[in-house]
Amino acid sequence: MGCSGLRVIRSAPVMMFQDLGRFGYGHLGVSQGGALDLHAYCWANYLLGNPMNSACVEIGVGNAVFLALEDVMISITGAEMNARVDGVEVLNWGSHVVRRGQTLKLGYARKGSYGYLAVQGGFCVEQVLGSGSTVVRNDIGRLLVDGDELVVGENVQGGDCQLREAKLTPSRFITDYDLVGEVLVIRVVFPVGQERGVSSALLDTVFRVSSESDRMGRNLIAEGELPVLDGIVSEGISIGCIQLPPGGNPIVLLNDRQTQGGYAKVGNVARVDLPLLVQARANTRLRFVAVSHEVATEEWVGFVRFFGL
Amino acid sequence: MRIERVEYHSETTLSIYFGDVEDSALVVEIARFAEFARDGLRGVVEVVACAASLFLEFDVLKSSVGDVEKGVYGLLDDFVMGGEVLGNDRVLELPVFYDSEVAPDLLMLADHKGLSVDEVVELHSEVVYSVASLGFAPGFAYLSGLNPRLAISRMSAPKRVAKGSVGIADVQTAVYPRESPGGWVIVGNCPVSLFDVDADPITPFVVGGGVKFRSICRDEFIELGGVV
Repeated sequence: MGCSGLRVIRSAPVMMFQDLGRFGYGHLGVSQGGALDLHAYCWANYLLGNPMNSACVEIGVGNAVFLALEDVMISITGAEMNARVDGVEVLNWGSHVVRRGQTLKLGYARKGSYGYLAVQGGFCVEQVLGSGSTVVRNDIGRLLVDGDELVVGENVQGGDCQLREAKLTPSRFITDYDLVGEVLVIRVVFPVGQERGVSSALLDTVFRVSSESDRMGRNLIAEGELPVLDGIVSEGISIGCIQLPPGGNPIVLLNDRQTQGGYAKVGNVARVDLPLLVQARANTRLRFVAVSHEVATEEWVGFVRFFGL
Repeated sequence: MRIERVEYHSETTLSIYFGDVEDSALVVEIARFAEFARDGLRGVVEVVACAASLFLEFDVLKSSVGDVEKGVYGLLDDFVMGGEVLGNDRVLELPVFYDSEVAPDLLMLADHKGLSVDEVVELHSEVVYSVASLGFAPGFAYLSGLNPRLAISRMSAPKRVAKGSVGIADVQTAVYPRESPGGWVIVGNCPVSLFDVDADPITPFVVGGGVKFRSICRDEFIELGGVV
């Protein structure tokens, strides 16, 4: 065990531990979980020199306050939440020293939906079936609440709880989630052999992100009519899978998705584009463009190599 | 067992589709093959046996869709069909309260099928089902063997479904182990716990194993912990 770390003074409405996810239990129906915005999550750990599977706090909506119980080096990435340490603004996508007794205050998310808070050494989180990821719908872990003490581990290259120089994510890697008035473009891999009409209907339709979205999936509202497709025999579902129920509004399945499903599958969002989709706020308009399986794979391999996942 | 087709879903996932849906021997063979293949494919991190397909996820730094596909074909050559399935000799009996008080779609199903509620209950509870696969949620078992007279499509959009709900979708039936969004047609409620991460095994279902439902009254339902 390391330092006592941080105390939650005020929890955001949806705040929990996440790591890279829980793999190898899908055959028992266990969802993978894992950080929704993998790009922001990985940068949060990268800035601190943490191993990539160190759990971070995923903060939905924002409006959270933490008290440092020891000197800690933290990083914050993802949605812009106007972070302040004892009232002094600190940069998002950066690492910062927070001294014992200081307060870290995050406002409501202004751009994007999910922020990530990491601490040098990683948070000590109970491992269930090999992961510290919270999956509320599987009864694994729970939401963080006021008064929780977040213990810091010693899982770091180069020393225990050793404070280092503050760092910033290079600007070219910082995602701009601010899309006011713009249509978000999301790339999709279509199944080989899918009827042309189905793919082209998806490409020709503009969608809005529904406010009913959660960690299971992004519900989209089609601003036009899509083909009505029959269900399929239940089968495995990938992250980013686009299901099209006969009701006509697609669902993009995310980290806490069910392991199998029987609604028609009409495409799969490119994995490197998922952070943009998960950060999109309710009513954001978006459209799909096609990408080949080869190109999507090449980009995903690049991401995985960069962070050593 | 024959591979009908292979579909690449994403950068890291693919499904291998086998034979006919309603062949109950096939689903057991897929489940057995999944266990056979689990540790035999380099870089593969998930192997999920489904009713008519095998879903695989892999690490892109260790393998590729093509390599995993080739690996599956190779393993299939060495796979011996017809072996035993652990635990399929016993039938798991699950109590179910069939009543519109806990089953919002029971009357609709009866009406839609031209059956009385009693006939629906009888047709649903007289069969020994076979666990075709585990998935959707922890402890969610897809059960095959439904009487075709009860077969009905999923609801047109998912809704909130209560813990323990017993649902029907097409030719399968299942119990929702906890509250969840879902699109199955709900005909009853089972008050027994079906998933516990601290239990061993974490779920009582075994792929290929038998399951039978027993119709219970409201009092017994409440006694067993059911919530109305």
